Amino acid sequence: MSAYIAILKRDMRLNGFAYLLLPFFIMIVLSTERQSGSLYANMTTIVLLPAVLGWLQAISLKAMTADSISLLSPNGRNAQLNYSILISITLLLVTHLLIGGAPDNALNVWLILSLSSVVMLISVCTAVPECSGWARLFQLLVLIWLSSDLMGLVYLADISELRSLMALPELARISIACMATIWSVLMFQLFRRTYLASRELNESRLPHSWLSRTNEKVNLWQSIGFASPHWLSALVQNWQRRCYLISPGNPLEQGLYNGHRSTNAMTVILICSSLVLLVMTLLSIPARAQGELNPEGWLIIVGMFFTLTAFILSFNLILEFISLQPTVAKLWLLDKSPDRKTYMARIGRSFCFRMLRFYVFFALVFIFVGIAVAGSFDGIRVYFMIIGFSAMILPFQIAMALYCAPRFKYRPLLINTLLLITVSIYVGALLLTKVIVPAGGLIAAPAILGSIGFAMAALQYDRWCNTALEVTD
Amino acid sequence: MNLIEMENVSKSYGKQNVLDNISLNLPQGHVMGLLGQNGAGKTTLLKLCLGLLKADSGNIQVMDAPAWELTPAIKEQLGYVAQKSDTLHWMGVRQLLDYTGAFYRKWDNTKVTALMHRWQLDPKSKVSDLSEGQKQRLAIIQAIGHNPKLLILDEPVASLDPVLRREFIRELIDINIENNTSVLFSTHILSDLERVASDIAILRQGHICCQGSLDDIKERYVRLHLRSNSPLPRELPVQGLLHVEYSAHHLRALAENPDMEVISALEKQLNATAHIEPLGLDDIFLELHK
Repeated sequence: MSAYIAILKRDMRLNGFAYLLLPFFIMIVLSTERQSGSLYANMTTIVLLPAVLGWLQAISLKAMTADSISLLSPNGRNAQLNYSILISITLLLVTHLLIGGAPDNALNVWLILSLSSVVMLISVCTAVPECSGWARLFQLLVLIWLSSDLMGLVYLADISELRSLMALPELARISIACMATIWSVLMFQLFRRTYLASRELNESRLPHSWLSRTNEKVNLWQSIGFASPHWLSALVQNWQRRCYLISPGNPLEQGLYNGHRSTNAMTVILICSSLVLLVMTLLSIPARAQGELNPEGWLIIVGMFFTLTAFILSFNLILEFISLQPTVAKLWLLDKSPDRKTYMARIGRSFCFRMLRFYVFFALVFIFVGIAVAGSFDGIRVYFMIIGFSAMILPFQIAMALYCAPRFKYRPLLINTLLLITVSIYVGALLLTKVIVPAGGLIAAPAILGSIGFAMAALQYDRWCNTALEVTD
Repeated sequence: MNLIEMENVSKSYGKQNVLDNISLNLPQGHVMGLLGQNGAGKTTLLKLCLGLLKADSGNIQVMDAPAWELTPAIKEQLGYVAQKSDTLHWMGVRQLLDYTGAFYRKWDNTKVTALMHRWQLDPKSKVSDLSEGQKQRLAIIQAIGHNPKLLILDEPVASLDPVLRREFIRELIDINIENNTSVLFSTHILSDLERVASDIAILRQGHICCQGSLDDIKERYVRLHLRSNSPLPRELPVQGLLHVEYSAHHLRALAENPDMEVISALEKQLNATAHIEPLGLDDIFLELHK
């Protein structure tokens, strides 16, 4: 028992503020919602709650593994895992009591529970290297979850606004569900490649090797784990250049890819997301023509893909940026910039520009899709809000990456501040968008997901540094 | 009984082979010093013993259990001081010790408090505000607070001043005598090692090039000087000669268990004078790394 009390004390010092804030915040969000069980309410409980819980547990586990003595202590890890599970269940229950009831249907229960479990499992896998033996099981669970959730969302579609999907013909719904599943499998492959690699130390886990690996001609299919024909690689590279997605001259890409990068993971996301959106748009046309499709509900589905894509994009970019840090001194010497600070600023600027390029590109794609689907400027307005919001969190993400990356150490205060800022942005965005567009809650998702992305990238960076230290020893 | 048994253990990081076919035993009650240059694989070896890393091949048993699957009962008898203290630096000293102690059934709070005062650690100080030496002291207290049967220390005295180093060595000897604790530790400070270690293992390029009791090693390796007025031959029929430095009238070599009868015969044969110089641990270490 004394071990659990010690963990509780440590956890309260780390996360106590967040634990208090979380139910309170969810209450505020849900109190603004007139209709219980709406998409907005569901998104809040489905995305926010498990995401924050997962984040907190990752922090807590990280605290455990930061100290090799407590890592080696008898039953320490078991006690920590038991504790994490217990606190998560407690918070889930408390939150549901506070918001005044359970989710209104079986699908919601499944979404909330499955996402909670998956986020927690990923946190455990990220934070505790000893869980590597379970990594494959976790990966399988993530895959099942992604597929089943997306299929469930798209095919069953019985969450409030998404009911409009039921207007689509059977064949269309099945096709969309299949596309969503393929998309989720590709995303999962990407995620697995980056984050759920084996725990064992090896060269490929080191930053410099990670960089040198991207220096190779990694094409579309290789980046998700398959071999590909050369013509496809050339086609995609050409497409990237045309869309100004790569710019061999800029210092960031020179540092990362030696100036001649081929297709990378980012392109995979762009292509897959565009394909999914295109197919969804085409399939929706007959139903829309007959007036059976609610445009707003449809836009929300498309918006969900956007939020996930935006999350993975920012996640990946921040990760790339962070991975550049260990080599920054070497690059600085090669670059002959007057000082390291100036060089960092240049790198930071090119990072911002690259990020913005992606957002602009996506904005254009989504505006066209918005016009095609909604057939009115209302659709465009929703997309502008989504993009605007993503842009709003961008400086925050960049600032944090810049601040933390070169000298990241585990800092509970910093991480709790991040949580607070993210939550504040969420509330701010909520108040703003509730006035302008009713589907405002949806756009908060990138903030939450982006922040988890940042936290996980930070954890990963820390592990890379440790790995590098171990190898140099 | 051996508390650590390593048999043909290999470990590599990518293409870099760090440990190659290592075999090592640490008997109960022995204090073994692990020596080696930077990058020789000392930390890797210690982490393999603790199950913090997994060996590519070979077998590691710690208290008769596989090192990769240490049970809580075994962990309760282990103490570890990492080379670099990466502890929960936002806690206070007393808080951190209480936190660590909560995981052990036999945490000796009296001893911990006494050590904290003796080693001048303010219980209210934040760990992040401590100097490197103070952090090292704190890590040592964390490692020995539960009177472990096996203590693994990765350069524990690197950041300590001579006075505290001496204190620590005394504490280590006390622990060893009182609890019959086995200690495996790596260090670069050979004088400390000579004070406390009963056994030595020297790692070189992933191999253990020398292993045995300290006295045996000192007896085993000597420096042989051979002087003569007439030119000496380059090749001598003496077994165990290592690192021979040759000049026309003087031959200087590191010798492993030289046969004294052969040397006496050589003296007469070459009309030379042989002189056997006993070596200190640092000389042996340097000679073996030439």
